[in-house]
Amino acid sequence: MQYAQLFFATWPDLIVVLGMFAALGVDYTKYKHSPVEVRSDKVAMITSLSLLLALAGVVWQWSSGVGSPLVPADTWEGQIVLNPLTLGFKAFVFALALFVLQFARFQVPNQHVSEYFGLFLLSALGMGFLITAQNLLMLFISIELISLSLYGLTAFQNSQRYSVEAGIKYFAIGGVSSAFLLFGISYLYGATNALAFDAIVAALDNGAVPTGYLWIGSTFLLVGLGFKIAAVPFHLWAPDVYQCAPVPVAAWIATGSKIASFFVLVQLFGPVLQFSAQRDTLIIGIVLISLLSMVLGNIGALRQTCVKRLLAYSSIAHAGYILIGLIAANREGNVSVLFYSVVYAAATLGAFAIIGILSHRLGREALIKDFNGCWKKNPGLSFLFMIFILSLAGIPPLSGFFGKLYLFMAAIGSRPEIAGWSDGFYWLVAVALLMSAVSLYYYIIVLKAFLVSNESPGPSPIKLSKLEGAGLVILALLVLGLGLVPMVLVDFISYGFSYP
Amino acid sequence: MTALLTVIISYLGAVVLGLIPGKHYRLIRGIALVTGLSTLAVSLVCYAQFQLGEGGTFRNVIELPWIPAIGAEFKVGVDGLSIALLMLTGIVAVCGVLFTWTLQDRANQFYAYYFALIGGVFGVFLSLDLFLLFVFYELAIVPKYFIIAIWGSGRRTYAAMKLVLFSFVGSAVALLGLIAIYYGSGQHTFDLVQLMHSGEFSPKFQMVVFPVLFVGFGILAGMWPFHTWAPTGHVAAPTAASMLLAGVVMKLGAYGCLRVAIGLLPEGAVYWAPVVGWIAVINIVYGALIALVQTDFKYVIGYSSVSHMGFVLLGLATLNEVGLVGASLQMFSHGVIGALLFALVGSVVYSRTRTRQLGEFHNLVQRMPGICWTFVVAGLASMGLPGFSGFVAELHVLIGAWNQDRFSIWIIVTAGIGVLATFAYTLVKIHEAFFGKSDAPVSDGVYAPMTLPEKIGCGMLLSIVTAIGIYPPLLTSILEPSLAPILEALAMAGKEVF
Repeated sequence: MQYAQLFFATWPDLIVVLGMFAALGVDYTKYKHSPVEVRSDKVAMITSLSLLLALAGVVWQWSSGVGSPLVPADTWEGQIVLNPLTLGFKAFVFALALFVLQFARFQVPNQHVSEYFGLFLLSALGMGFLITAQNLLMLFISIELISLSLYGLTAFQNSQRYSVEAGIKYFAIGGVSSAFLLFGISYLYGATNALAFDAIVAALDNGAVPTGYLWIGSTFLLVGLGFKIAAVPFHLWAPDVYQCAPVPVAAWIATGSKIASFFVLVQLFGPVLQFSAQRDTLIIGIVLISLLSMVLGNIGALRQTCVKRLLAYSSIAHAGYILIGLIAANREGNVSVLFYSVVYAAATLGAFAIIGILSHRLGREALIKDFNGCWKKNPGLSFLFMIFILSLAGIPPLSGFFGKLYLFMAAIGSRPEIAGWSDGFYWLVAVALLMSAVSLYYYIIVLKAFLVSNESPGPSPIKLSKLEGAGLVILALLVLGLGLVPMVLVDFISYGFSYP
Repeated sequence: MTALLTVIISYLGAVVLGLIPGKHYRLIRGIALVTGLSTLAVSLVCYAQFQLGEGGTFRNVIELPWIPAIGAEFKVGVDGLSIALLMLTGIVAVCGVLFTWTLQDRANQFYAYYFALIGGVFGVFLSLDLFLLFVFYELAIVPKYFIIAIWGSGRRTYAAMKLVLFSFVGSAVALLGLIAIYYGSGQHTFDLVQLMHSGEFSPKFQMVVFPVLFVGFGILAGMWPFHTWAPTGHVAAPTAASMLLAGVVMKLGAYGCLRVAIGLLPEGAVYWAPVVGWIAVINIVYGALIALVQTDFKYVIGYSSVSHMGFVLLGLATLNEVGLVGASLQMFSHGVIGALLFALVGSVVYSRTRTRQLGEFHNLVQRMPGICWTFVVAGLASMGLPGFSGFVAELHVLIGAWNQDRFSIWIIVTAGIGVLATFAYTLVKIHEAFFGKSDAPVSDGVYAPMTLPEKIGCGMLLSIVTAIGIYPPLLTSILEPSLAPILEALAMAGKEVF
């Protein structure tokens, strides 16, 4: 490996690392005795700036043509693979991190300001590396980087028992899932004698793979990644973590971490499902996970009174929907998974951001009834919240609708004949549609508090900072725009898949 | 382009009205009225163009590429059926504003939701692409919730949620059918016209998918046994929304049944016709009998809507020209009459009596004579007396049913019983409401006469009902040529099935 190559591939990430150190250094020297507001302002500025520069760097890499000496396409057996698709998603994750920081800067949970922002940057780095990784070792390392930072962030509200408890719970379950991952990786390596994804696929294509090992390896990998995307039955950590972590952290877990996990799931299992002899058995397993996630996630959300917990269950359900695209096991299905993960992340981040703003004002956990009469205090904010929630519910013309439909059509399209009821995936899509009707119930309950109720407890009116407002508007435009002209993103992802 | 203006104007109106501060309610209702009137004007222009112009079945077609990944296009156009329903929507939209003239509470939001709903309705009637049609169909769901939950009465959040969930489940079922059509046609397209002309669906496919589509759309049409959302929803809704729901939104479902389910899957339609026929007559009789025992005036009208939608479904099930024309006429006719009845009961009478319980009405014929006689005329129209549009429509439907060989005689007999039951509940309830005396009379004072907006609204609706009743070709002349392609497909299908 050439160090120059490595440098050219990762210089945007280096900027982020430098930004993190700069933030830590400044915080502990110059502003050591300043009040928290000043420190969080400065630290957020430095970290945001470094992320912005890194984002610009990634976009530059993307636009200046992959494969040139300045942008190496592949660094050592798929450890860092740069192509339009990976760069695009890396840029998107960095952009999401940038949004999260803008909301986090006003809601720092305690005195450790620079550590808080530093951990955000570290997890964003991990997600970037996970997206560009097409190698099992790199995959594991980046997942660990993400997870360890997120454990810390979850427990960050260390004055509150529940936050710490959630952090430990997340850590324990996450640790087990990492063990599953590592175990699966070792078996897959044993079966195929390869760590890079393309080499694994080539081995599978050859057919000379001991099926038992392959079977164990892919199952364990699926379980390990199932924890990361919070799919049933590996979802138990999600409600507690979402509810008890600081809101920006919950938002970050629900968006950035999910996107990166789904990206690697598609990169790894997309080809495995296309070539492996175990394809049908694996698909049955994924169907089961998807079915359980949709049903339990949506039904679990019905009785929640805490909004963050409700969104946690809804995110479990959404993991179920997204897996339907993976089941299709073809290009269209993979494209639909990535499309949906993007629009899901945009809508979820918007919803979490608004919840964060409101619960920060309350100074405690936000229940649904705390949002009563929000339309009086800030009609614009309530309208934006409606856009995000309706997109999650899958109402056109918002992008959540097209995303869901695309997932469903990909699954049905992989076996379109109408034969017995159990052939093809019409029944699975029917369940998914029924479950979206269930989900509409609890989404509307939340919207009812925002837009219908006439009583308005709590202080009024709600004021947003310029950055928060701009961030929310951009996210809402993304949610609406991708619904009206989805081909922009679909084409981008399809092109990425067909890239040599 | 002309037809598309209805959608554009509605959504533009919704945005503008939503942005005006709520305290300027006079300005807001003025803009709302102008918006409604301009959509009505546009639909009348479409009507005139259709009557005068030459061309194929669909006019005013606009076709733009949209989402090639799933074969969806932005394709809109109108035929006679669409134009009839566009005019209906425009009329009801205008009258809804007139009968909500006194609304002040959150007026800007009310009209924003109101025109968002109307825009969705216009869009459904215009769409020539199934994906686009579905998008508009769902767009019309959410505003209904807010209109009922915020400005409704009684158990309004319950009713609103029930209505929205029923609509959404219906649309989800229909969506499953639409995806099946997409793949079943083998052409990977949602283009309605292309699918009608060259979609090759195997008989087995049609038999399986037709009920899925028909039930999916039928839920919104108030089809028994999925009609329960309709009375609760209509009753809890504010007047303008009841008028829209009963007058127009239920027609969305019937339109979907006709245009998509029957239009694309004629063999399935022929196969399932007797079942649909039975469900339709159950709708008619059941709705009428339940209306007969209601004590809340608005519930009477709510169940009468269910009963009248039964005639639409029966007309659809006949699958012959007379019956389908009858079904389309009944859609229009009930749209106008249902809107009128809801306006009278929910707004004109209620705003004066402050109660809807029939037992508490006392001697209204002397205390509000003008309103009373207006209602009697509306009731006669609803009963289907000659001279009103309801008569023409129901006669067409019954003749069509008689001509349908696959109907057992009992379907016709039951429909006949339904007609009698309609007479019964209309006369009984008119008597109870206006000519009855309350046991505990509170006062004998005379109520205020109708205000100007109320007079204009009632006059407009009644004159339309009478005009169609006296000279049906106003509508049949545009309906008949537009139903021809569907009838051709049905004739072919009839030969293949038997």
